[in-house]
Amino acid sequence: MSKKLNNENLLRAFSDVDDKYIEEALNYSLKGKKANVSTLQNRALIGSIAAVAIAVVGGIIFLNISNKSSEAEYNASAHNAAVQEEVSEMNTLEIEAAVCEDEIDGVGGAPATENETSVATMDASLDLDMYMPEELGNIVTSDYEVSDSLLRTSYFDANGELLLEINQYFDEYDSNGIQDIDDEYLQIYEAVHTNDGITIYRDGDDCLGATFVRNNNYYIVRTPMGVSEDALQTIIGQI
Amino acid sequence: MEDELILKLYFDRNEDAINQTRVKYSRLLHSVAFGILKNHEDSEECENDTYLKAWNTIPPTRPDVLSAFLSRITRNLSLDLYEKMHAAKRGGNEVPLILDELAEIVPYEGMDSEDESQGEELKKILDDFLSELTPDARLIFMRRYWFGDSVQEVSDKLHFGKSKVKMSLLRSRESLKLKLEKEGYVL
Repeated sequence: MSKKLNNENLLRAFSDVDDKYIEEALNYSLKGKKANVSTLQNRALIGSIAAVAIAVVGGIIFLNISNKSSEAEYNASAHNAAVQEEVSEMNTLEIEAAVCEDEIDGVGGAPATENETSVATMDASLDLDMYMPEELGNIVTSDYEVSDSLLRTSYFDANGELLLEINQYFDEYDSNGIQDIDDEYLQIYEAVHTNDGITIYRDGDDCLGATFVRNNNYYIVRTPMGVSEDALQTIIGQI
Repeated sequence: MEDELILKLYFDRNEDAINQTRVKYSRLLHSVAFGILKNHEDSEECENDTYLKAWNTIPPTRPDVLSAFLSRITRNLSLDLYEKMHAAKRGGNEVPLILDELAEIVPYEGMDSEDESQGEELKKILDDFLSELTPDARLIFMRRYWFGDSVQEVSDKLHFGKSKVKMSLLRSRESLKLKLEKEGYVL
C-alpha cells in the first residue's frame, strides 16, 4: 500500500531521528571543525560535485591516481602547512584504470566523490588538432546550454572550433531545483588560464578541476569541490 | 553540572532541576528555537515551555542524551508555534525556505495529521538515511533541516564553502527522495 507524505510532516518527522545524530550535530557545532583557522583553511576543504561528467571525444584512460601528499615534504610555513592539510584530505591512494573508448561521457562514470581527486588522461596524439597545448591556451569563447537535466559548457578556439565540452547532468529535479543548480554551476565554471598552460575551473577561490597537456597527454583533473588553487597546483605537480 | 546529576534532581522532584537545566542548556535551546522562529521573544517562550515539558516528562522518561532530548522538545514546540503563527500566511524566516527545499523530496501540501505507525516507520527510514550519509553530509543535513540553520550559517559553523553545503544538501535530498520512494511513499 502506498503511503502519502508531504514536506511539512517530513520536516516534523526529522525531530524523531536518533539522539546520536542530534548529539553529533550539537557537539560538532559547539566545538567547531577547526579552531583558529587561517584564511586558507577557511576555504572549503573537501566538497562534492553532483554528477559531473566531463565529455571529451576520443579514447580516454581514466585513472584514480595516488596522491603522494603523505610522502611529500613541505616547508614549515603556515601557508604550505595549510595547503598540505588540504591536499592530504583529498587522499586518493588507489590506482584504478579503465578505458572508455569512443565514449562521450568518458569520465562520467567516475565522478566526483567526497574525497577523491580523479585524473583522466587522454593520448593527445589521438586528435592533436583538438588538444594541443597552444590551442587549449586559445579558448576564446564559451557557451552554455541548459536543458531539464543537462548543463553543457562548450569552449571554442578563435576559429570557432570546439575544444572542450563539459556536461553536467542532473536527474529529475523540479524547475526550482534546476534553477538553483544552474546558478551554481554557471558560477562554478569560470575557466582561468595560467601561464604554464593549465586551465583551472573554479568558483571564486574554490577550484574543482583543471585541464592541461603534458608529454603529449591531455589531462583532466577533477578535485572535490572547494579546493584551493594552491592545493590543486600541488596535486597537478604530483601527476 | 553533569547531566546525570541534573536528571537526579528531576527524579527527586527538586525544582532546582529546571534552574540547572537552564544554566546548562539555555543558550542551546534558544538557538534551536531561534533557528526555526527567528524571533528572540518567541524563542524564549519555547525555551521556557521546554523546561516545563521536561519537568512534566521526567520522570518517568529517562533521556539517554539530555541535550538531544531537550532540543527535540524545543524543536517540536517551535514548529508548533511556527504553524500557529503562520497558519494563514507563510514567510518571514528559515522554515519556508526549508519547506521549499523539502518539497523537492515530497510535494508541498497542507499539514496532514500524522499517522502514528507511519511516524515510527519514518523515523526508521530517516535514521537509516542518516546512517548512510558521510559524516560531513550528515552534519550539513542535520544543521540545515534539524536546527534550521541557513546555508550561510552552516557554512560558517562547519567551515565549509557555501558551494559544498549547497551541493551536499542537494545530494542528500535526492538520496532521501529515492529512499522514500523505495519504501513505498507516494511523492
